[in-house]
Amino acid sequence: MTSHQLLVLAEFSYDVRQPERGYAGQTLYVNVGETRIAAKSVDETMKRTFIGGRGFDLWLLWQGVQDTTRWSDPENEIVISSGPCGGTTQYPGSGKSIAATISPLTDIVIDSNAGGHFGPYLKFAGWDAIEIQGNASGDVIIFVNGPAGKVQLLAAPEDCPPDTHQLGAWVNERFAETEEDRQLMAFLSTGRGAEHTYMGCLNFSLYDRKRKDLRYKQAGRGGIGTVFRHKRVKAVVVRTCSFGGDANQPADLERIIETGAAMHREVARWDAVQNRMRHRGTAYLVQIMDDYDLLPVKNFQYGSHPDTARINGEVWEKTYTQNLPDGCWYGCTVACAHAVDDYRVRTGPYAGSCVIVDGPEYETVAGVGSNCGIFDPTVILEINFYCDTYGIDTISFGTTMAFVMECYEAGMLTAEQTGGLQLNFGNAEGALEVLHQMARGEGFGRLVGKGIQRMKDYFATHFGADRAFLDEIGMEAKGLEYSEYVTKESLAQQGGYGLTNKGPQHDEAWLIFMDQVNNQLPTFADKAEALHYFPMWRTWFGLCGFCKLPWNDVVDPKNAESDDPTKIPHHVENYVRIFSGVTGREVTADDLIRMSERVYNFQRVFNLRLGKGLRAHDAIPYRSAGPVTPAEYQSRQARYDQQIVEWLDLDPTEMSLEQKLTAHRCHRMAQYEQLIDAVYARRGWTSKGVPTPETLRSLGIDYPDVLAVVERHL
Amino acid sequence: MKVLAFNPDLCDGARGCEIACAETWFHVAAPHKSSIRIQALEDGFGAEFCIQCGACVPVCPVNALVQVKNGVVHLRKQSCVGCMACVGFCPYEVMHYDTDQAIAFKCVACGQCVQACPTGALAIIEADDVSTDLWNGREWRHLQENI
Amino acid sequence: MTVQNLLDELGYTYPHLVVSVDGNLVRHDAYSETPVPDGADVRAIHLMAGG
Repeated sequence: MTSHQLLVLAEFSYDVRQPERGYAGQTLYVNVGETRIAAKSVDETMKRTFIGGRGFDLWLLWQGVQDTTRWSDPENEIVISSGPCGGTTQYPGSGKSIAATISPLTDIVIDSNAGGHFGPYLKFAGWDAIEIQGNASGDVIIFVNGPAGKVQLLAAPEDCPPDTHQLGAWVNERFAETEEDRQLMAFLSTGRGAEHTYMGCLNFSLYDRKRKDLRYKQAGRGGIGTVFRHKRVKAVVVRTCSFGGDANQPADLERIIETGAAMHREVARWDAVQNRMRHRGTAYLVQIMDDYDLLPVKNFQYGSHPDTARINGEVWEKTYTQNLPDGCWYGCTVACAHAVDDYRVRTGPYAGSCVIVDGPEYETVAGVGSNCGIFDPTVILEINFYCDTYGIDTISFGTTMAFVMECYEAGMLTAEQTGGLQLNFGNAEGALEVLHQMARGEGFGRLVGKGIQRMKDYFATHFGADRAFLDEIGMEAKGLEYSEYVTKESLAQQGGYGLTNKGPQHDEAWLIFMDQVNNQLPTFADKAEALHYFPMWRTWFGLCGFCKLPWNDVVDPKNAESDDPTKIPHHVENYVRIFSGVTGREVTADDLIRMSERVYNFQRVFNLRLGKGLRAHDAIPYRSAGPVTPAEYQSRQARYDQQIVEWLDLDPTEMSLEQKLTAHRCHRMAQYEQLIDAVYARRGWTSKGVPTPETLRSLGIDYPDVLAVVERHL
Repeated sequence: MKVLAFNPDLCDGARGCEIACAETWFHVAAPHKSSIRIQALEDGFGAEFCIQCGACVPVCPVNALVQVKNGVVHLRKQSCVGCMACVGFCPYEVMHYDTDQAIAFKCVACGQCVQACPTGALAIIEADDVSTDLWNGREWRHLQENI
Repeated sequence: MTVQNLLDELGYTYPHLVVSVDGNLVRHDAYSETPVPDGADVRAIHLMAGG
């Protein structure tokens, strides 16, 4: 059976335009509930104001939803866009896609990025973004056929497999007849785990020409996959025409090629002696984080563990197969996307089959590994495989499982309540069983799949657990589970997680070394400045289709001689050149920050519109700010006692452990409140966390409906 | 393997080889589109060109670089996506790029420059081990000693 | 004591460091040969990273 034999529910023909200066000039609208497909044009104002990527996502979503829209409502949308520089092949990390929707975990907008070929191929097929609205009554597939100039909404047949790795083979068979077709096709999907949990991820495919097989990268955070399946979408398939290094028809190809070739040389010269991204990927960080006491161990209680050497980058470098540099978009020489081939699955519905496991990346190793007290690399691979194919975010799974394990060990949860599972830290088989239950929507796993925020409510209401304790150890903020860094000793990074738009994900800012190790941010004003600049800088990658890693994970040491080494000025200049080279807009480094400020503030207002986005929603669990339990205190007693002397001018030898814990708590939480004041002021927000009309005016986003939202809170 | 070799003792620096190369592959007499580059040194001339080491082959994400039976590395233009990874990762900086077409290019030991050289400073030879001795005349002398 | 000894002692294993001794930058490949005089002002700035 080919795609031609699937039932067509709607069809739309269009003129395929090759992108010009990075833009296709139109976005694709598909309403899967009303079986309606349309094109929307992209004008100069939209390009100037929202740039692309996350900016386009937010702008389209803003117009599609109501103030009262929740994740499951038909008017909720999933919007996916790469950005003007997405699809550039000459500069490493230029193939990202950014997805956004109203999240089932947070009830506000979630944005999450992924590699893979989908975003660039969508643009080469003629679309700057795809907007999916409506809830279908049966499973559907969206097929964007660039070479034919046709978009189809198709009924997914009964034999369509439930999980991504099998669905991929099925899609290849139906939608690609030749090897070239497979190379020029990409698709989005998720698995049954996304149907039964709130932490469903979206898988972005890439056809690996060396392995001659499909691989997947994940837009993991915030349950976008959950919304995808709730809309009854099985897959979004895009096929593009063959393309070359000038597919974006950039304004100044020469500038881009020169910049890219120089960067490739820098990667070639330095990566092997720095982070070894080309060999270890982001997993290189596991040992580093352990060395600096920042690796989450046992639900973020501790920052290191003697067994970390069993799951560190050296181990993964040996475990990854093929050992060729492995990029998730063409021309990415940082090439961190490694994989383990021929992994034999041990548990669950695919036991016995041999599969490719992508990664695992740092977040996965730390989340499902050390944070759950699991130090067995084969278990991490097994969980990684199932999370991906089931469509479950490895970060939320890891952090949630760690929370469950601590609750179990603290007696907040009994084996009777878990359906007989003894979920102590380190119980790998128990964690796997919960994962399979989550995918099936059965048993205790069904509850775990709802995430920490809902579990806290449930444990307190139904199991009589101590709510205050749950709130302190449950590592979520805004409803989103924390990504995998211990922030207790870095106030700035507590803000880097807490003062985010979408919830505690480190893609806005990672300030731990600057703050805690380098002591470069001694004052509140310094921290606030960093919590302005870095979130804006890192937001910019997501407007344009860039990955953050090539910015600072491989750096010519000449950077040390620059004015501000932490910003990597010569790489910032590369991005200025690429953006100008693609779009023809001559910009400066400051202009890039301005672009982000506009979108960032717009997202903050969007949160307000959906009923959140205030100071109260920027609160963090105390576990992320300081020691909750006596055991935690004792694990760093010398440091904490010293701080009592330095910060509070008290004598710890005359205090009980309980008194010392309280003293730390009062001081640290007060510090966080002071940090909030400083950051809000720097960002041009009121002390309630609301962007002022002046801020919005200066950014040129003082549209009446935007002002109306903030005026309700002034 | 088949590879280009240079003898600086015979080079007069007229750079006809560069023009011949660019005309053969790009139909323009533009030295920056040549796969062989001649430099004036203090004591004569030096040449730089691909020695067919093959280090670029695994770097290419689309398998556009292929080392064929005679050892020469060819770039299949129709597959190239112009990423220039090979340019950055060439250990000898002899993979070049064309900004008009967004493709990389390199010496494929075609011999057009050999024919164009009036002084006989270039030759296509068979070599077992390749190194930059192909650029400085050592390989050339070694070959002559063995004949 | 050399810069490398000091970094080892501090447990500074992160590869992206900007190290200076009394205001003079130390090249990354010269850590083992660069002495740290008594009372020197040594700075080791860790360049930020993170997933």
